[in-house]
Amino acid sequence: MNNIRIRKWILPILFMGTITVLSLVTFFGTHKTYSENEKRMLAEFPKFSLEAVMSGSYQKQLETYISDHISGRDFFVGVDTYFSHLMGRNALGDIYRSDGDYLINAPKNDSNGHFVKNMNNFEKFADKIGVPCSMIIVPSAGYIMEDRLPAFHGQYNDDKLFEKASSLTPSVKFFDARVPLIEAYNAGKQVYYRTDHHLTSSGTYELYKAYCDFAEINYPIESTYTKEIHGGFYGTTYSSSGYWMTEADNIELWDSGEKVCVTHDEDTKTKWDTVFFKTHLTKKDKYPVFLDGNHSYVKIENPGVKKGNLLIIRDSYAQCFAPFISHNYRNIYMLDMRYYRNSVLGLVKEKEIDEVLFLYGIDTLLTDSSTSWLMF
Amino acid sequence: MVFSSLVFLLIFLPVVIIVNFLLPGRYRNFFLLIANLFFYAYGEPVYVLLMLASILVNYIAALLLDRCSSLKLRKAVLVADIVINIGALCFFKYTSLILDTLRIIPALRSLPGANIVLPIGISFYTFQAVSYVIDVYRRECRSSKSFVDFAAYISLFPQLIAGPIVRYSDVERKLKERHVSVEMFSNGIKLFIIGLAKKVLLANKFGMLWEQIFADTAAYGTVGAWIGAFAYTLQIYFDFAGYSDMARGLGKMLGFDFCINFSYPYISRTITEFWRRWHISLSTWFKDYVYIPLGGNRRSKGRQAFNLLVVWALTGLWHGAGWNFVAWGLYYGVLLLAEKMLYGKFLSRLPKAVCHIYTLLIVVVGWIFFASPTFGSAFAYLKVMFTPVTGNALSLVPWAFTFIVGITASTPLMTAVWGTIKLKRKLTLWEIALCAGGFVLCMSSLITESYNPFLYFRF
Repeated sequence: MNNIRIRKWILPILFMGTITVLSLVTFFGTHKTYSENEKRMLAEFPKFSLEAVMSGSYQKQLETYISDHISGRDFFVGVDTYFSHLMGRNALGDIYRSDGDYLINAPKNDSNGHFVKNMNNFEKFADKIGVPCSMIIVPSAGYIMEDRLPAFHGQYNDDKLFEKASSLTPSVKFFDARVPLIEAYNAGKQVYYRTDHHLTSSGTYELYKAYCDFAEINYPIESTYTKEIHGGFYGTTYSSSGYWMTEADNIELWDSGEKVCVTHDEDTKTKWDTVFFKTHLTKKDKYPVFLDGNHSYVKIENPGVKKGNLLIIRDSYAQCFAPFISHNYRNIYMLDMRYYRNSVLGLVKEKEIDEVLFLYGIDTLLTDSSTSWLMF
Repeated sequence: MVFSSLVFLLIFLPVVIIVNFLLPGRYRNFFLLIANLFFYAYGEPVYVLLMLASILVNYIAALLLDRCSSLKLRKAVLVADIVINIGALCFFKYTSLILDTLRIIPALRSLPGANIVLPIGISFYTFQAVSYVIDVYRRECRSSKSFVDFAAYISLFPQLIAGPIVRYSDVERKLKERHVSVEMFSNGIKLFIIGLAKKVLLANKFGMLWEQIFADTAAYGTVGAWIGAFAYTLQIYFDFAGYSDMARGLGKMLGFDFCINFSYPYISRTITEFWRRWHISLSTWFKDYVYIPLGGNRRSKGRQAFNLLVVWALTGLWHGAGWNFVAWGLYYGVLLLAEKMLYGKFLSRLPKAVCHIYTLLIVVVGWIFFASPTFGSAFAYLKVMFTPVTGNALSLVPWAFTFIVGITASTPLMTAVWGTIKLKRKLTLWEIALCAGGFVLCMSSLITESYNPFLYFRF
C-alpha cells in the first residue's frame, strides 16, 4: 500500500523536476560562446525589442538559443542519432555509419551547377595564364569505400563527374586520382580517416606517388619518412555526425627531414620552420596540424630545391598533400579561393609561377564555386 | 507557441504548472487567462487583440441572451453574434480566396490581392464561441457571469490552436472548481508525452518523407508515390492526434477533462465510421450546429442529401481556404451519402479486409487533395499513383521500420496489449521508464533539428 502511494508520485516529480532543473541549468548555468565539438559560434541570447517580438524573430532566436545552450546538448544529439540508426534510417542521413566504424559523408548533389562552373573557371584560367596546369580531384570516401556503406545509400556520381572534369578542361592535364586510391584501398591501406573526410597521410602519400609518376618527377620512398603517430583524433565528420561512440582515429605526421619555411601571409612577417603545427594535436580535431588549417594564402619554401614555383589552387585536401610535394619545388604557393581575395593573375606574374595545380576534394567542387575569383 | 518547442517545454510549461499549484483556487482562472494570452501572443502578438475582441463580443451576447426573454430580441442577438463571428472568420480566413475567385470573372480581373495572414486558431476559438452562444440561446447552458472564467475558457491554451473544440457545458463545472489528483496529473503527463512522441518522432519524420517525395514524385515512381501518400496519411494523423493527446494531457495537468478527439480512424471499415473516429469534436460540432438545424434526416431524402453536402462543403472549407479543400469535403459528402443511401448495407456484408481496403483507399486518395496546393498538382500526383511509372523507390527502403512503427501506432494494438498485461501485473515502473525514454527521445529530436554545424565558420 505504502509502496503504491510512493510510486504514484514518481512520474510527476520526475517530469516536473527534469524540465525545471534542465531549464534552470540551461538559463543560469555557465555558457560557452563557441562549440569546439560542432566548430561553430553558438547563438547569443536574443536582444529584446518590440519589433523583434512583433515580427517573431525574437521567438525564433530564443528557440535557437535554448537548443544551442541546453545542458546535455551533446547527449541529446547523440541519442537522436543513435535512435535514428536503430530505426534503420542510417542510409537516409547526411553521414553514414559504415562498416569498420567509418563515418562517411553521403553524396553531395550538385543542384546549382557548381561543378561545371568550377571546371569552366579552371579552363579559362589555364587558358589565360599560359602556364602548364594540372588537376587532382580527390574522390569521395563513399565512392572508394562503397563496400562499407549501408544498404540503400545514396548514389555517388564520381565516375560521371571525373569524366565531365576531364572533358571540360582540355587545357589542364587531368590526373585520375581514383586509380591509386582504389588500389591502395584494395591493398588494405587506410586511405581515408574514419572520423574525417580527408585522406590519411598514407592515402595522401599514395596519391602523391602516383601523381609524381604521372608528372614524371621523382619522389622519396616511404622509408625516407619518419612517422609520428598521434591518437585521439576526431575529425569534422565525427563532429557533425552525432555518433559519439565512434572510436578515435590516429593521425600520422610523415616527416621527410627536409628543412622548409612556411609563411601564412604575403607580407611574410612570421616564418615557421615546419609544416606541422603541433599545438593542434592537443585538440579534438587534429587535422589543422598540417599547415595550421585553412589559410587563404600559404607559402612553403624548400631551400634544398633549386628551382620551380608551383601554385596550388586548393581546398583543405592540399594541406596534407603540399608538404609531400614541397620535395619537388623551391616555392609552393597555396591559395584557398573561398577566402583569398587578391588578384591571382597578379600573383602568377609576380611570383613567376612555373606550374599550377588544382587540388580539390570532390565535395567542395559540388558545393562551392568561389573559383570564379580566379580571374580577378 | 507550439507544444513541440523548447520554449514551451522548458519555460512556459514548468512556470504555468508550478504557479498554478502554488496559487489558491480562486486566483487560478485569472492566472490561467494571463497564461493563455501570453501563450497566444507569443505566436500572434497582434491578433491576440482580435481574440480578446471575439471573447468580449460573445461574452456580452451570451449575457444578453440569458437576461432577455423576448424571443424576437433573442433571435436578433443570436443572428448578430453569429454574423460577427462568422464574418470575422470569413474576413481573416477567406478574403484571399474570395478575391482570387472573383478575379476569374473578366470584368473583375483588376481586383487587388489581399494580404491577410490567418490568425492561428481562429477557426477553433470561433467555433467554440459560437457553440457557447447557441447553447445559451437554446437554454442548454447558462451564460458565464465571470468574464475571466469565460475568457479563460475560450483562450484555454491546451486546446486553443488545434482543438479539440470544447463545449462550454463540458467544462463549466471545472471552470468553477477543479482538483487535480496525483493520478490525474500523472495520466496527464503520460498523455502529453504520448502526444509529443506522435508529433515529434512520427509526424515530423513522415512529413519529411512526404515533402521529399511530393517535390519529385516521378523520380520515385508509382511505388514511391504510394509510399509518399501513406507517409502523408500517417503524418496528418499523428500530427493532429498527437496535438489532441497533448491538449488532453495538459488539460489533465491543470484539472480539465477534454473529450477524445481521435479514436484510431484508420481502422475504420466505412467512411461513415471513419468520420466518427476522426476529429470527433469537429464532426459533432457540424452535426449539432449545422446539420440538425438544417433539418438533418427528418425531412425528405433529397433534403437530407442537400444538408449533408452543405455540411461537408463547409467542413472542407473549414480546413483551409482553397477550393481543393471544398472538393475534399464534397468528396466525403458524396461518399457518405452513397454509403447512407446506396451501398451501406451491401458494404456491411463484405469481408472485413475488403472494407478496410475500401476505406483506406478513399482516405489516402482524399489526403492527396488535402495536401496538394492546387488541383493540378493533386491530379499530377494521382497520375503517378495510378499509372505505372518506374522510379527509384528502393532508396526509400530504410523507412520500412519507421512505417511498421507508425502503422502499428495508428491501430489500438499496442494499447490493447499493454492493457492485457496490465490486468495481471502492475506496470507502474515500466510506464515511468517508457515515459522517460519517450520524453528524452522527443527532446533529442527537437534539439537536433537545429543541429547544423557550420564547419568553416571561423574563417
